[in-house]
Amino acid sequence: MISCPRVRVLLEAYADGDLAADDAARVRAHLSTCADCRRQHDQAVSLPFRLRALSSPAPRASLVGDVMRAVGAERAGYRRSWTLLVPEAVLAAFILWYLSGFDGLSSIASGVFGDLLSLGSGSLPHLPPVDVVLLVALIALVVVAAFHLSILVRLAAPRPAHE
Amino acid sequence: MDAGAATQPLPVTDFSRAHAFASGELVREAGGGDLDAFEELVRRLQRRVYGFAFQHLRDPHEAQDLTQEIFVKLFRNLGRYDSERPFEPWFWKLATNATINYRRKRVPLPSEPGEEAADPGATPQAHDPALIEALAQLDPSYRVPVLLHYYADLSLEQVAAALSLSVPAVKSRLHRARGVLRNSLADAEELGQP
Amino acid sequence: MSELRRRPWAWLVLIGVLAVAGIFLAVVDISMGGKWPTPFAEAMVGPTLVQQDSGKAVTLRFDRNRVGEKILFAPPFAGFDPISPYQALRAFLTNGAGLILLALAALVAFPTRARSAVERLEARHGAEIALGAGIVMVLLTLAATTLLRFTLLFLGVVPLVLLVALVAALFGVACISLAIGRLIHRRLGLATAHPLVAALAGALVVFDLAVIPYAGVFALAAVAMAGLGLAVVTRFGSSGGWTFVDLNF
Repeated sequence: MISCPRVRVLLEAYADGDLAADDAARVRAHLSTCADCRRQHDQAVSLPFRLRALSSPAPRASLVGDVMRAVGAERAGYRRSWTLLVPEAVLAAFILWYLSGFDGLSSIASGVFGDLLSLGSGSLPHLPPVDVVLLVALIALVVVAAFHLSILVRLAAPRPAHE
Repeated sequence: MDAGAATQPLPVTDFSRAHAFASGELVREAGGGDLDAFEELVRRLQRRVYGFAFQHLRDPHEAQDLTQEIFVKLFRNLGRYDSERPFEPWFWKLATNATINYRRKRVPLPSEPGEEAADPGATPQAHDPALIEALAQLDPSYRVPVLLHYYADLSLEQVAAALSLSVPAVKSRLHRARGVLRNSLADAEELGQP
Repeated sequence: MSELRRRPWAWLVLIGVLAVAGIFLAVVDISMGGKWPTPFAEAMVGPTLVQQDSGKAVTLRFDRNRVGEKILFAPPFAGFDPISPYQALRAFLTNGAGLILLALAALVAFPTRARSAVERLEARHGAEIALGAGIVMVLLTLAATTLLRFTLLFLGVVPLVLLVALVAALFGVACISLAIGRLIHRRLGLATAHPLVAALAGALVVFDLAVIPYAGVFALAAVAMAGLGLAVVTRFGSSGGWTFVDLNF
């Protein structure tokens, strides 16, 4: 004889007609005797219909407009993000030229590499000569690049840019 | 925020008419970058997607948010849609992904029925509050396949494609989910809730 | 032909072809010598220059048996270094395969994040956004690092930032490998294979591009930058991206 807990587990499969013939026969036999399980079986059968009958409100009328706005903002943002490369390239070229060829660059590069190697050794890295113009150019480049990066991050974000 | 046109609940049977909605031509044009075609596609899909989002999140603002996110994701990925394959399964797979990854913007509202009645304009009178309550308690990984199959009317194969599972795995998940729902409903009946 | 492509061993054939091509390109790369910065030939395996006519030969690093000296071929054209297939194989296994394994390990360790990042990469404009973000990140890092070194501010941060950038680039390259593998799967119509197999094929493509004698360095730089950009822009593939929503509670 099949027990009530076992039948309860099989009720959904039985309601869908997915059980093997002998299991289904056993469940059917049990249901003819057990009122509690019969009640559960009625619930199991009615559940799909109740689920299909669920109703939802209509979306706000502005939904389509909001979506198109977000999509449009994304396209505009994408185009804008490429134009930002121009001032960045200009600044970078200027800095490179200002550092007069590879001398300044190589000293910076070797200093950076030294930073990597001497993690925590604490020795002061070698500095190329400081210059106000260079400082301003570097700060400008950092600002533009950070702003550009924030635009790109927003473009790639799962949420639409326009809230 | 206004309650908008949120007074008339839309029965699911209306969706069967919508089965012819996404013609291949429209999807192709939208994928090619035609914004008007995309807008038309959004217009045809919005009820169904919003309904699904609403049943999953039970909050009209969050559902609006998720619906918007799904459509933006659709726009981003439409270029990769292979027009040889049917649109619906591909679209619902995308929507399911977005739903699973969705992070709520607000603190989730407490799921007691009393709280929902406090804002009468926003949510309609639920025809089946016990089932709504039971669904809200269900684990999201069970709720999504249930909604996809019974509410959005996807076939078992389409649900399996959307969730990257085999059909038997989807069946067993649906059976288990329905069992949990049945037990919640039985418990609620015992406690005398409507 | 199309039925052949659908056999499961089509992937193995493809990977074998890519690996052999990689080794061949590494051989050519080594024999062309160190006129340009080649990341693979010398990085860890050591120099390959061996004196051919004089008796004294330079010992290859870590190689007490000096096997490499026994398998040397004369260069086909004047001005090239001797061809050393043994060295090429070692370079391939050390650098190429090592990097590939690292990249695949990233996929194994963070499958959800990798998937999220690859999804974004395959979406509209995904590759351009990643590459653009990579270029911007490189500019930003270089400029910020230089600025900090000038002003002697936050110097302790600099090596850490570079380390994080390296990790981000590796994660990004892993995702790009998977994306290339998926592209191969779609375009060539191959049978469905384990995602790591696809990622392996993609990583081999990246390696082969990197080992092309002169242009390889630029290809590798582009892929590394795109990987860095992808990792930064998707916050290492997190499902929420960069957001403060979770902090606001």
